[in-house]
Amino acid sequence: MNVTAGPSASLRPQLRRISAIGFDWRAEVSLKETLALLGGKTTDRWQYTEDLVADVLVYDAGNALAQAVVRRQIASGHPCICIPSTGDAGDELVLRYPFGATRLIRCLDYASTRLTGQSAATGDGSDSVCQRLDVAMRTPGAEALVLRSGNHEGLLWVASQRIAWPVSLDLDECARILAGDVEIEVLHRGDAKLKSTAAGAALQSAEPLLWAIGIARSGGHPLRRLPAGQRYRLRRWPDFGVIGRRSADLRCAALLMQRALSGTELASFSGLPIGVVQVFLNAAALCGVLVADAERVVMPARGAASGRSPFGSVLHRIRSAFAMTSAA
Amino acid sequence: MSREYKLLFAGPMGAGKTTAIGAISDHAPIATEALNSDLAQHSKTHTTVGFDYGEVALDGGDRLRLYGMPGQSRFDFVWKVASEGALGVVLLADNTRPDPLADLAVYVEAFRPLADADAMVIGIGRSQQGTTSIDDYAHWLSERGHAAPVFSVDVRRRDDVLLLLEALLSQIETRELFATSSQP
Ligand SMILES: Nc1nc2c(ncn2[C@@H]2O[C@H](COP(=O)(O)OP(=O)(O)OP(=O)(O)O)[C@@H](O)[C@H]2O)c(=O)[nH]1
Ligand SMILES: [Mg+2]
Repeated sequence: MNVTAGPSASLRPQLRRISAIGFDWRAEVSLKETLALLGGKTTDRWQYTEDLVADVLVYDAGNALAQAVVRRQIASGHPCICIPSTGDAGDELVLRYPFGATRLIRCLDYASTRLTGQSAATGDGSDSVCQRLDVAMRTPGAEALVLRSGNHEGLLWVASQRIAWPVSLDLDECARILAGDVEIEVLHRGDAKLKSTAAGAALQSAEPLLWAIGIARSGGHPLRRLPAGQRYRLRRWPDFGVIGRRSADLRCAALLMQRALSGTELASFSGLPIGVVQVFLNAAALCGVLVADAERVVMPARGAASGRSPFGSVLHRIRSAFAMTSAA
Repeated sequence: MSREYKLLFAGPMGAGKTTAIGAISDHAPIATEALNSDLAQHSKTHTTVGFDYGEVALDGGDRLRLYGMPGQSRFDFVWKVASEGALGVVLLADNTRPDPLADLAVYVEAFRPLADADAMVIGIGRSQQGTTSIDDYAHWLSERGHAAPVFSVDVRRRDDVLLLLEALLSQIETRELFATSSQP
């Protein structure tokens, strides 16, 4: 019988990154919390990242965007172990929610053996795609941006937020863009590339792609131009596009349509973790629907009220009839 | 005693009211479909005469009743009566009609009390066809002081109808939250 050796002493533990896609925010929080409890019990050291470029990607097997991102990860050849939330594969290849610590350790150690020798995802501390795109779009005098992802190249017109892209920005194409690196180049008026880039490609609304980049490629950091304590409202409802219906986004949008709130206040009123709210604000800012309110916060945020309302209890039951997540 | 709550679906002929109700109702929509005698309005073969009706059973024996409003604007008095006590209204537009914004104006006006109470959501069907963009709809609404969410939908997909419903619920919940809490 073969005895498998434990991690060899010569292999120093590496810092590796794990991310999740397609889950309800509760599952993401649970994954982060479980991860925090594992200190020292896994072969490598693991850090949660909001970025989809990671060593391990846990995905909700029932979510269409998640499936598309995984297909793209695999096709990109980037070393990444993709672990679904359901399936018949062995214990180390499936991670069901709620994520138990023992099972998570087994999955991560399995991933470590598979990843050994391959380079870890680079967490070089550089700006997220969302941050770079935001800076580029706000460059004074910028007329359009050239975006390159894989072998596709397109032109994003800054003022109209329309994009000339060689193919339709459907679920698969957005997933491909989200899964890889995006090169960004700023073009000013008169630049010859304004005429030559993506010539002939039909113009599409860039908002669904921008929203997806805000949600999935913020790297867990608020945009630098969104100072904490500033109150924001929404100019209009965003177009969630391929990201689709997420209870957290709908709740945040409804709140900011009716009142200007800071990130902390938004988290408090919605009952959502600040990280989830921050990513929402990034996406809304990138799409240009977030408006800073003149008034800055002076008082600490108040929690959600518990007063009775005429429709309160029925709203909750309608949600449960359709398996929608209720407000926390 | 069990209680009943009303949710309305409105919009011009062929916008997808019967389809949307069918996508989320516990049973197939009860509607009287008749041969369409108004081919100038829409080329479809059948149209609903009177109301569509669907329902969703809620915990505790209550029901959510789904009503499709008759499309023709000569029925606007019916819309107003039906609005009373309604939870909200889902307006459906068909982007391939000659002037979808003019269509919308009729409905937004008729359901103004619900719009003003943040109890309106708008779904644009066939948005890839036609020349009016989602942004045009949103802009048109905000110029008239409305903040209703506008989504591009295909109501043949249940998840798109649930997006409209969940956006509507989120708005109503928010309105009630702010009504029962003081300024932050
Ligand atoms: N392509 C497309 N077809 C749709 C959409 N919504 C509905 N349809 C189709 O359009 C047709 C009309 O839909 P109905 O649900 O009968 O419309 P209605 O609003 O009930 O119409 P009336 O009862 O005549 O007022 C059906 O054949 C649907 O399958 C959509 O979003 N996109
Ligand atoms: Mg009908």
